[in-house]
Amino acid sequence: MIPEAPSGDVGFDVAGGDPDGISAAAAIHSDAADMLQMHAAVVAGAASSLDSAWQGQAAGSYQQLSQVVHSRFDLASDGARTAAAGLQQWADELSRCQHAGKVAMRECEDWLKQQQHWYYQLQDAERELTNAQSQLAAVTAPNPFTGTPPSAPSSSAGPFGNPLSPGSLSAGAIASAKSAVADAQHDVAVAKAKLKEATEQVLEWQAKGRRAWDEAMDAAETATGMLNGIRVTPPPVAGFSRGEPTIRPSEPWYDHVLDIAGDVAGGVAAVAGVTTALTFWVPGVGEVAAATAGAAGGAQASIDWIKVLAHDPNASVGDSAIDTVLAVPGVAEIKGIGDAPEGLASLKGPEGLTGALKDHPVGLSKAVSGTLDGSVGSYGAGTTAKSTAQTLGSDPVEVHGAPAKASPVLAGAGGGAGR
Amino acid sequence: MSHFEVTPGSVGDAGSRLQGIAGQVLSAHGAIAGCSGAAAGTPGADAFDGLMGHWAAVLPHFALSGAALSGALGGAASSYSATDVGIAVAADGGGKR
Repeated sequence: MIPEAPSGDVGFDVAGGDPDGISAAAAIHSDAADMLQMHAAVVAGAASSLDSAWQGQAAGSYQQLSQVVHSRFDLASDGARTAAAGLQQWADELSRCQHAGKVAMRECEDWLKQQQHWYYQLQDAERELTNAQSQLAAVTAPNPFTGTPPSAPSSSAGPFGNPLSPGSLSAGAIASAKSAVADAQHDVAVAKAKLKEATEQVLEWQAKGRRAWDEAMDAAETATGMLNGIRVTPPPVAGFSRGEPTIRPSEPWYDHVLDIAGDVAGGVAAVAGVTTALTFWVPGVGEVAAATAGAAGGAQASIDWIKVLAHDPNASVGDSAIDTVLAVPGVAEIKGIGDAPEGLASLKGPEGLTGALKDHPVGLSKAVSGTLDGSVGSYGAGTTAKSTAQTLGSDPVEVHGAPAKASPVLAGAGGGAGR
Repeated sequence: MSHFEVTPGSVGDAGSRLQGIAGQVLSAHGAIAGCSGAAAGTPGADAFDGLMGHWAAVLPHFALSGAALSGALGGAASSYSATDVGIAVAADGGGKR
């Protein structure tokens, strides 16, 4: 049975996207990861160099801030490196799938042409066969007037017979008709075999093309999960006592901030950060407040951006979505309500912070609190801290609460931790 | 009673070491912004552009953080030096009286 005429449509698509572009993005993320890691080390190195050269309350505040900045740069570097690896993997897989898809597409198109060719060849061959069979039937049919079958060659005509006798003519016609039928049958068989092969090849390459598409979709899904999982917490900015401002590209002052930051980087307004510090930071610890007047006349631009960031209502400083507070060992606390089993021995806060218990409650829905004893870290102050109370020899128990008494000076314990 | 010890030059040097952060972070910010749309035409485009947007939002913080930290150290060094000079001048003036 002849199948339906081939549609000529390969039935699949090659996955879209620009693997080279994604690969370039991976390289840029890799460079960014290196850069952030290097600056994390620079921040740590600068702080380390001041261990003995600067001591006092301001120095302590700086060291705490520096540790958080260092940590954030490090984490951002990790995020960028994860993105770089994931993007490169995606680019490689997409490239492979696109190549496989294109090969499958080309093969499929070629075999579709073959399929169409042999489909029509088969139609022609079957038509020829029908004609040949009709012809054979006609020449082998009995004489309609006498009812006798076509005569065999006369034996009196010798061993080869008389080729012009009616019997010989009839036999020749029959032989010719039989030959035509045989030829047509052969052509039909060949066309069927070729059509079968072409159809199988089309199906095979369609399957390969669809598989390449599916694998490209899988790679995109994997990349999506990876990319969605990367969330980098920005570092605190020295001098912002109410936490960091939210910097959004949509804000009208966004370009201005970049300009100023660029100026600071280039040394054009090297005093910019100085004024920031003297306005909010150093006087806050009461060491050299009297000296601020000397540097207060720094670049006007620095004052401008402080005003923009700190006081312009559009800057959203008070409602910062990425407001943070520092968690200082021995000062910051983890508090929450949770089930406190026997043997509760320590607390584990967000971002891997650990804490020693202040007391040892046992029971359901107990107020659990502790003081951090690990390294400096940070909380998202606008969100409820989720802590895990760890027990000796038992599974961790989650308690929920907010961090408290964090960052008394630098990152706004009053504004952040109280919320 | 407060107590502090400081070598202003060292504080200033530390601040100088941090000066390059903002510029390089902003360069990376620009480079990453240039990647936008690289995943167009794929199901991962939204996630990709989301990450690019996330970087665009947070990297300026890193630049500002570096600049502010550098500036704060420089400012502290200047202030400590100015205080030193002021006290020295005052001491000299007192001695002359």
